[in-house]
Amino acid sequence: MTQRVRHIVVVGGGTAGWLTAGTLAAVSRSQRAEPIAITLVESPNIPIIGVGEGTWPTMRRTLRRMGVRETDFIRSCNATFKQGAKFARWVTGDEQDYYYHPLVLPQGYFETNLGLHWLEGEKQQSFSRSTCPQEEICEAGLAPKLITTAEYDGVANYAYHLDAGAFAEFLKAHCTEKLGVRHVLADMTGVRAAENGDIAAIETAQAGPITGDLFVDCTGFRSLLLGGHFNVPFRSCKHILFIDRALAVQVPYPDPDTPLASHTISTAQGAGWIWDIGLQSRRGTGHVFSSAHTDEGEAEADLRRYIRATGGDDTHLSVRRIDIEPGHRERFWAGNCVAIGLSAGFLEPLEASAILLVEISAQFLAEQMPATREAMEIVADRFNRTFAYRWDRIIDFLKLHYLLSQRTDNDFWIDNRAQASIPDSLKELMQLWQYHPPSDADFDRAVEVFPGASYQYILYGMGFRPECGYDAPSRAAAREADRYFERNRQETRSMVGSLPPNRDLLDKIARHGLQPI
Amino acid sequence: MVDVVILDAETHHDLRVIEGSGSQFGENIQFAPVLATELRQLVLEYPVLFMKNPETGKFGLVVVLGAKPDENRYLEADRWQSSYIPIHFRRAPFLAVQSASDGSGSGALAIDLEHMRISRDRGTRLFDDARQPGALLAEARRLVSLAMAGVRPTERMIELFVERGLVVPWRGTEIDPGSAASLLYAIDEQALAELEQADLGDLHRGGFLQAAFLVAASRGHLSRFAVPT
Repeated sequence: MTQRVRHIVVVGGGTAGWLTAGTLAAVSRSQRAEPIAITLVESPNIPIIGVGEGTWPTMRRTLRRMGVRETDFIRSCNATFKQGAKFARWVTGDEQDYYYHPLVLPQGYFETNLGLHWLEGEKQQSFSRSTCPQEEICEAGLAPKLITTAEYDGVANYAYHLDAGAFAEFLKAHCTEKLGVRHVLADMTGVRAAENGDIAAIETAQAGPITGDLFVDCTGFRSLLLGGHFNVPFRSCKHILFIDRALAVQVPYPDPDTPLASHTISTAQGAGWIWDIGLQSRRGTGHVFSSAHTDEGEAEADLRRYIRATGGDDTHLSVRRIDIEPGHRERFWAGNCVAIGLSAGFLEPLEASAILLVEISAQFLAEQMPATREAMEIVADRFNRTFAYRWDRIIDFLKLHYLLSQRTDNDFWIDNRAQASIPDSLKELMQLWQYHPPSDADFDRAVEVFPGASYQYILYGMGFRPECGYDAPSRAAAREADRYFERNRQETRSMVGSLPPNRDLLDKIARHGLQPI
Repeated sequence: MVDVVILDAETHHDLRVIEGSGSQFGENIQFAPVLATELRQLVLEYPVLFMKNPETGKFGLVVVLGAKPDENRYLEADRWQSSYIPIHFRRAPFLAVQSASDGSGSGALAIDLEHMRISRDRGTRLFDDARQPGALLAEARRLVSLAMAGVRPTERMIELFVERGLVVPWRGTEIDPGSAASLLYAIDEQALAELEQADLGDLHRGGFLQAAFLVAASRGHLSRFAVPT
């Protein structure tokens, strides 16, 4: 008997749950005469984690696909523009030590490889400054677009910072009012298994059993379905990425007109780093650290010192502690259950990969939705292979940030450079980059989580130099590269001259909104 | 410079307004704001487009008057060559300001004291010796209330057009809009032709369906600006 997939039950209502429900509903409604029914079951008693505040530019596509107006999103979610990340004190730890990982690709990214040419001669300024306008835009505190730029369009590529709690509420309203998602407030008490081990239904205290054809586990760190019911083991990667604690705190602005950074600021500390994310009405900051290399008291003192040094008042703050077990499940899809979000795993907040993984998981599921229970085996296998690969690439990419540091002030940094802590795949890439600069061709998949450009920004931003240099370019190639460097100087001047301060644009959006076109 | 104050017989009893037309009154402009309530007359002579306000991003309705910035081809020396002149020009230097407390109430008649038409020794007096308003002021009052009454319908019309996907960036070549190039938008005739029954009904009920066709058709007037190559 063919069992068709007609009803999907999403368990958990945080960022992952609502993003998944909204993506599945929107894609299904736009493509099918008879859309798949989506139910989201959420406990009225368990709070969401609600700390994830950084996104990737993919969020613009995700929200647009769900039919969300960007103006509504920005107004409701305390959202601001994010044009990448500034990494301070990651290389030497000095006060002047910083580099950018912008969201704009280097000039001529698909025609040439400026990594090579920058090393050959443009080194009087940083790689990101030489190859894209975004570092200067961010340093000048400017927004990535104008009030006349249409919703979701940008002058410079951008993502968002957002209030995760408000975001979940916003998505809930949109999903239930516009996308036909059924919302059930109930505490899950157990799983009713089918004969083949699948989930036939989840048992709930308030709403009885809820049956479905496919279950999406968005239950956060608890991983109640994939980890709980299916017993899929957890694979720790604490031997690679040492961060295992977070202290999170919300910091008010000294006054409402305080300039607003349009990038995430990540400042390295003795045994970890501090994130600093500017929302419209407050900053979200936190210290993630390795408990093996420092203690909580010290870490909190570092965080308070940072808050004071950046103009914040640390006297009335409530610091929230979150324990992190860096790693992920061995598989993400088992039987008729797929885990999306923290239930699948979490590494650390560096490079904002958590919400990105939710988006690309939901997108995979929406686009390759198995029609029947039988087809599910094939799709599940593909999903597992694809995401095992993606988690590995993210682990490599995050580790790269620690690997290239020259800091010696704490064993945290020294241990991070120990060969035993570096994945073989990353060692291989580092070998490869001795001979040529990173490019998309270094990676297997058509769709990578991080493009070759991201590796260039980190490598050259952190001072990586190939030991015996790359092969010298031809004169024609060098002239072409010079044209791109020149184009970048012009584009930078023109953008810095025309873009408004980030705070000004957000104030205007609050007053006038952005137009859909 | 603009200095807008509410008109007051006591303070402004000796003010005069110079009538007539021409570049000396700032009428040499490439685009002028117009209202949905003027469309029926406008579309007979002028191309009508949408333009974003660079300060707010909001759409307004404009007529195109020239082929390049600071040009008004409808104006020859001190005479308009068109039979209909947009209210925007006829009401100057008068305008309405909303009473501060409630935005919805009727506006008070205001005047721009820095406007090129304002004088104390030439032109038509606003008030007579008894400080009673003269004929010019009565006409000003009429035009300003016409302008006021057109604001909300114009906003509503454009909102509806944008919502239904009828507005697209203007990509013509007939004029050189200078720095306004990225601010100009037009009706998407394809989208207009493919509107669903429900959308047609919604637009029609507000009287905006016909307006959409009028705006779309008025685009033909742009050809008068095209430079033969």
